[in-house]
Amino acid sequence: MKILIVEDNRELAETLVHYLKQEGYLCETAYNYQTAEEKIHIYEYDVIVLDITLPDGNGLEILKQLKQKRPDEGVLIISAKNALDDKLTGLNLGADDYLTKPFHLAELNARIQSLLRRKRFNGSHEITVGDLRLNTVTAQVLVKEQEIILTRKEYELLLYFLSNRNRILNKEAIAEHLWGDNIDMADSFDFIYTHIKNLRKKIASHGSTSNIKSVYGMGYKFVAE
Amino acid sequence: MRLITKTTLLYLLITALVIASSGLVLYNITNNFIEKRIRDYFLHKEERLTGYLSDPNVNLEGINSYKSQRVILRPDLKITQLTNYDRDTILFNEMEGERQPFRARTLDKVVNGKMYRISMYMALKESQLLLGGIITSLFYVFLVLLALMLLLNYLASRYLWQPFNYTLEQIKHYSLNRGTSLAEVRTTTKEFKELNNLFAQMTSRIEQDFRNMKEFTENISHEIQTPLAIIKAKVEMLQKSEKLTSEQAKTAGAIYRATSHLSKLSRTLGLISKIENQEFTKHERLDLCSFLEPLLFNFKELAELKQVKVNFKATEEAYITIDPYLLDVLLSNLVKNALSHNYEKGEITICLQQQQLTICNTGAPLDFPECEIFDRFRRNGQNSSSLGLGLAIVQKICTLNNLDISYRYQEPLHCFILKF
Repeated sequence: MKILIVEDNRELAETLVHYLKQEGYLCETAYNYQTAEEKIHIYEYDVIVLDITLPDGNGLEILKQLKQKRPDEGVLIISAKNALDDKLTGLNLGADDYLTKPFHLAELNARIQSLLRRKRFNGSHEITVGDLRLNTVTAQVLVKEQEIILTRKEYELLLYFLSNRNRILNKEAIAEHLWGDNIDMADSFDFIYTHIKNLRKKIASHGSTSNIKSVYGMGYKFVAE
Repeated sequence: MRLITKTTLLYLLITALVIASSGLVLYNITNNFIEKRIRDYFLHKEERLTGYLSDPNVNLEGINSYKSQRVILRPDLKITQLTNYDRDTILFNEMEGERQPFRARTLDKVVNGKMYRISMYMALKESQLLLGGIITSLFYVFLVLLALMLLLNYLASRYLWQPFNYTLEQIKHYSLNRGTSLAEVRTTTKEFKELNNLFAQMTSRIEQDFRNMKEFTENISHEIQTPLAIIKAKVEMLQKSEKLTSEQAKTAGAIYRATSHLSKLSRTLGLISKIENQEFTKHERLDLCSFLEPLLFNFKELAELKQVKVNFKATEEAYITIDPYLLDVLLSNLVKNALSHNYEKGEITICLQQQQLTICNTGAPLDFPECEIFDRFRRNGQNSSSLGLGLAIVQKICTLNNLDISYRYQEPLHCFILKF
């Protein structure tokens, strides 16, 4: 899987590369408009993570060119602007997703994976971790080939954990993933706890060895045995 | 009091003073003139009478047949003489058939060795009529002046103050956000020209400051997000490190939370300034009920987790004209507020009527004065995760859209009433 990261802030770009490399992606970076333009004309990528405010041009221009050349490439816009108009313009031009800075790396990872799943519809819409199988098309979850019934939020939560397996996910990231901007209240962490408790119970009830573990002081982690 | 009224009153006072003093002067002059005439008349008459009396065959009866004079022969020469005894009296005027004021002069005079007492009378009616005429005409002049002045002032003020009123009207309707440009005021009055110039200068200066500040806020809220993204990402990486002690993990967690808070804060403040700058200007007529239902559906799960019961009743159809994004922010902030400041197993009642929306929730009483509830960074208790900006945004949106939001505490319910 090849990812191009177009981001003018080197520090942030390098952090993203570092993180995504651990996820097993091949990453390239472009620090400005010109390099990005060159790269999209020469190479092919599976996903392009695109910052739209670049010092020497607008990222939306790159998006336009890319959509003319190779319309199937996945584009994930990252921007410091949270304006509704920017989001709509980006998505109308053919971007697949929009993420506002600052984001959680786990969220970025989850979005890239979901984007890749959508792009490569055939074959890879199933995620298998240990004895757990999740189908993103039918939204079915099987533990040892037995289906477990999850609520919508529990399903989303599990998918988020599976996208970021073996990584610690902190409560803020989970809360934002599940509820978006509506969640700036303290009790939301209790909500997460309730969801995780229920999810754990459902997974464990079918004798799965994989499950969500609490990591003291940091958050939660999905561990597949 | 209007300036024109003030100047009119002042002018009237001055005119009254001038007319009164000129009246006084006129009165004195006329009075002196009349006195002099009386004096001359009496002198002339005295001379004439002396002439008659010097005639050896004087006929007192003939002299006394005139009503205006009377001569009596005094028997004794030795009695002290009476000289020029003047008095005002009222006598019956036979010619006009009424009692009238008269001036009388009585004096003793020795003619040809005989002493006569001479009395002379002069009618004062004419002179009094003259005096009265002068005063009355002055009074009428004053009245006419007064009427004229009021009329002229009224007309002049309408014409002369027109540019001023126009400027006032412009100031009244001036709004920084709308960027209304000032129309040129045509006037030849120096003061008004100066006023208009100053007003134009002032607004352009304010506009520039406003633009600078707007730019600054926008830059701050955008540019701060990239460094925050780096901090967040780095801390996330750090948290994954296996070598982290639990103490270090806690520290990393605290940094992470503070960063999240900061980023939310700057984004929310950015939203407030966007609302203030009137960047949401769509005006759509929205059906509140169909807007509220999906919103409440989104909150349903959060409410259920807290075991908060949400009652929603819409008795009538209600419409509101506002930018849809702002309505979403407004309503979700109110519902969010009702939920997050609620008790476990509490209750939220939302009642939609034709002209108002009431959102009531159970919750602990406020620990600050009620009137501060819409202030920025006003939080109940130690709810540190709340930004304390939700209700400030609600109020901002309401002010800019001419909606009325009020808060009332009716034990045990906190009620927010939105009138539209």
